[in-house]
Amino acid sequence: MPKRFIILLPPLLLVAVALNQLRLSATESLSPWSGGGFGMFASTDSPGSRHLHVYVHNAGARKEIAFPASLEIQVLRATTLPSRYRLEQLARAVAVAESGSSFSWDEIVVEVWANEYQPDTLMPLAELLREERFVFSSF
Amino acid sequence: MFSRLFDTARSAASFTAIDLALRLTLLDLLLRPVGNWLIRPLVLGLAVAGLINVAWLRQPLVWLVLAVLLALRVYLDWPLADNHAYLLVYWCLAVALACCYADRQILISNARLLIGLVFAFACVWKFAVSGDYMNASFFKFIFIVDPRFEGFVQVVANVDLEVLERLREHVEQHRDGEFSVPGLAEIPAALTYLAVAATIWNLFINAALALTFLWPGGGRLVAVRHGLLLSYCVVTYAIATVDGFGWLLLAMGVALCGSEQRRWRAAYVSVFVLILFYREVPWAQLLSA
Repeated sequence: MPKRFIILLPPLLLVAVALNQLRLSATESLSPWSGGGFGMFASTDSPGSRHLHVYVHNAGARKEIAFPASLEIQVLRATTLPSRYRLEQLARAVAVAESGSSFSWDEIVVEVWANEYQPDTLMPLAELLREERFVFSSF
Repeated sequence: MFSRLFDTARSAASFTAIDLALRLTLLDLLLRPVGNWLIRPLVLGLAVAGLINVAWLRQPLVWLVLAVLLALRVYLDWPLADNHAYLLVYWCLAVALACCYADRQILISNARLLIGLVFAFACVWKFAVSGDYMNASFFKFIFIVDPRFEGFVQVVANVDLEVLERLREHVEQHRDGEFSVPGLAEIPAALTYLAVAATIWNLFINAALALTFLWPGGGRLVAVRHGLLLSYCVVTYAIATVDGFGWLLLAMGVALCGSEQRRWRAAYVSVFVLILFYREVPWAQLLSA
């Protein structure tokens, strides 16, 4: 490997990671504050400005499940980068915490919301960033 | 190249000028420890070893191991690690390469490019991608919701704590898909002016840092770079207590100082200590009391 490339590896890595962060922000709703793109302190869309709801559907009825404190970090990761994989892992964890290994729900729905703020008054308006539905036949 | 990892610096003279940059980096790691229960003691141990033993300070393998540990930390924390965590990885890798090749110019080039690119991408977000930065919404928001800015907002914008808490309640209310008028909070004019001023200053300083550091060449530009970076650190970290990032930027700035530039090195060390005071002395809260 040429020396010139090796000695420029750090800035090349920075550029690659930052471009990937821009890509993930556009495609997977990665928070601007995360991912190594230097978008921190540039947007109100911080991980703390996002929130999440988990619902279970059973025979036409819908009920929201509260997630336990033990899943706090997992929830933070899921709101920061709400990919389908992460939301599925979270849904499984919440389902197990709620009902153990047996449950009879038709569907689990995970919603991730992000706040936008009206410029003059900062009135918040939450917009749905991502909604994923999961059917778990068994664990 | 593999054998170079185990050599200490072969040209001690060329490294005296950058020893300070390396020491400030290790001091940053000591003052703002990072990592989990496994990574943190290893990073701290290497930082202490490097600070007390000059052979370890210039040992390429030490810096490469630090870079790997810090990269592991980013991986384990994914996607939660902040920007500082990534920059630490890149910088430790740059130091490892510079020590490996015993070439000070490698560290200088990397310091300049890394600083320039950090602020270039920050500009991309602030100027182009973020929809709420240029209209000052971001600073209005952060001054209200982030308790670290409370003292600063009270002192500079003369906003009462009660008013701030009411505004915070308004901004943090939970609304899914609704937009209702009742309960509109009035944002004090002084807070709006402060947000506008902060926006203009940050747009200017981020763009100036990106341009001057990415522009090749030296001459008078060198002094401009140092002046801008020091100004940025003095102002920003008085208000936003993200000290680890500030210290890292200062360590990288020191690496850009030639051996004859004692005054600039002294300025960087002074601002490094100043940020420590910013962290330990809640000046804004004391003034607002």
